[in-house]
Amino acid sequence: MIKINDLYFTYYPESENPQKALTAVSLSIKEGEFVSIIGQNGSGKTTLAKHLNAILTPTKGSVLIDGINTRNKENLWDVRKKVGMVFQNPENQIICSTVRSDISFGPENLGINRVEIENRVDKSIELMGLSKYQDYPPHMLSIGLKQKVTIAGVLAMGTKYIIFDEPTSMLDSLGKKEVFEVILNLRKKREVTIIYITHLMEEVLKSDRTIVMSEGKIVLDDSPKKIFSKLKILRSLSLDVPIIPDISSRLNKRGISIPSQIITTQEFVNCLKQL
Amino acid sequence: MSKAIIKVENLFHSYMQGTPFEKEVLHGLSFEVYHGEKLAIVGPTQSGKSTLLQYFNAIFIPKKGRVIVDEQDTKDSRLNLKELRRKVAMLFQHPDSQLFKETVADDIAFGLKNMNFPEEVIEITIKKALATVSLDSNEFFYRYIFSLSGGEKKKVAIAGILALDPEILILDDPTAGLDPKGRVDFLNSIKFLHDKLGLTTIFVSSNMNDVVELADRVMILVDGKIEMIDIPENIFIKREKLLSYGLTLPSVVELVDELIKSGINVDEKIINIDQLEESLFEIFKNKNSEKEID
Repeated sequence: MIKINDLYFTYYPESENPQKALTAVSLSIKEGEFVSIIGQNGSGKTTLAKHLNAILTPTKGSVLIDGINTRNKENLWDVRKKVGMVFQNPENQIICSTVRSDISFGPENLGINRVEIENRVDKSIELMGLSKYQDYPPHMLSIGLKQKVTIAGVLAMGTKYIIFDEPTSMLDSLGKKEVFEVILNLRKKREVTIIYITHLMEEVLKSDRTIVMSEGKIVLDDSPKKIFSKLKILRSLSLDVPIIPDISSRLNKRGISIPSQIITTQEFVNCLKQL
Repeated sequence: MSKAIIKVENLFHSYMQGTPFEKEVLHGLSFEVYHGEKLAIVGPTQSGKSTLLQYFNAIFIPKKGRVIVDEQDTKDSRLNLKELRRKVAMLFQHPDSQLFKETVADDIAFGLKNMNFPEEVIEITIKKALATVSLDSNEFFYRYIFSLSGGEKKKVAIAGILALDPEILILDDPTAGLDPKGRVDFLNSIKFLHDKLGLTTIFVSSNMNDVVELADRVMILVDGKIEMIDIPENIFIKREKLLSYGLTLPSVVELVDELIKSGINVDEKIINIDQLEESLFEIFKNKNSEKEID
């Protein structure tokens, strides 16, 4: 369980121009959950995510990972063993000369024995569908495959919680689909807890729970379905409105009434047919 | 049809030419880009899109084939490269690869100084360029580049090229990595620039919704060959072909297909949400009023 208690964070607190990034954030994430986080650029999503594996530590308040406080420096390795992170741009995260050695790099640094490392690497390569590419130099791969390599690397570390920071936003449409599918696969197995930052509403719809951030605060925390029925709030936060709520509200304005809880295409079609 | 500002004739491109790894990636492309249009180039990864873009401002010079930009052959040894690159401005996918000065003003000034703009007009030119991308110069003129959001960086990068008064904009996946608001702002500023300055724009995009919103024509590039080049309505009607190339459909088109499948007869040529709203309204307005009469 991840427990965040009344978290405040300020960048450059000592400078003339301190920037408040998080204000009074409290949150619990249970094991096996798939939580999506949405919000505009600058709303604090990435700052929050960076607190979960102690890249940042709170200015005030606390972050506990399975009871381990991220604030204590001596806990750093224990925290990072539990919480892995996949960034937006895989180029920032790939360092070795072959796919296989890159995936091995993380577990090697944890000081695990060789046999166990090989097992884990084999398993992650298979899960990510990278068998064909394991001896390739990563720079020869498409960006979508590179992103799968970084995910495999995090998996091989055996982390229980994985934070994804817009992992598909630099990919083309096919890459987006493929990478999101492997993430959904992980979710099905429920072996890892997924914290997923995104701007893509079709991805959000697949999560168990959605947290909406604005100006460093959590403004909504609910099921994606409930959140997408709150069009006014989404619009006021300049977030994308998925196509079904969008077209429904347009039709409502012209006198064709469609209830606001209609979110999926199927529900929309059924509703139209009953008119 | 207005006149062509760019003509590409039988263009080939190979990487690592003369080595055992030689790979031909563009296989004899021929097409024209018309003055004032917004042309989208769409294709799966490694279809040659980014390679093609680099021919428009002579980063690449054809070894086989010809590229003519504003009546000048880019192969011509008398070509004034500096002038061509002012005329044809390129926005890379990552603004970080084109912003390198410390502040917004310094960064935009860099290009101007290189083009020998007189010192006294530089400041006013920067302010004008910021205004065109709707960034307030009072707030942004002295801002540090690293303190900007991704969307703001993109706007500064585009202000930097607009300051040079270009005639053709080349944009490599301009909305990738922007948040929804950044995306809408960015698309609006491109539309505005078009209407106001009469630019020609060529953009690569992986987001079909951007293509629907912005493009006058769409080129589908697959494995270094042009599979289609046409207006969006004629492109998106060929659903199966697009899917077979590994491309996705705009979300409105996907919804249109679902509606048709369920027996709601909207027009299959619809590509944007305004058209869809109109069509659904036409179908259901009467049903609604019938009910009221009941």
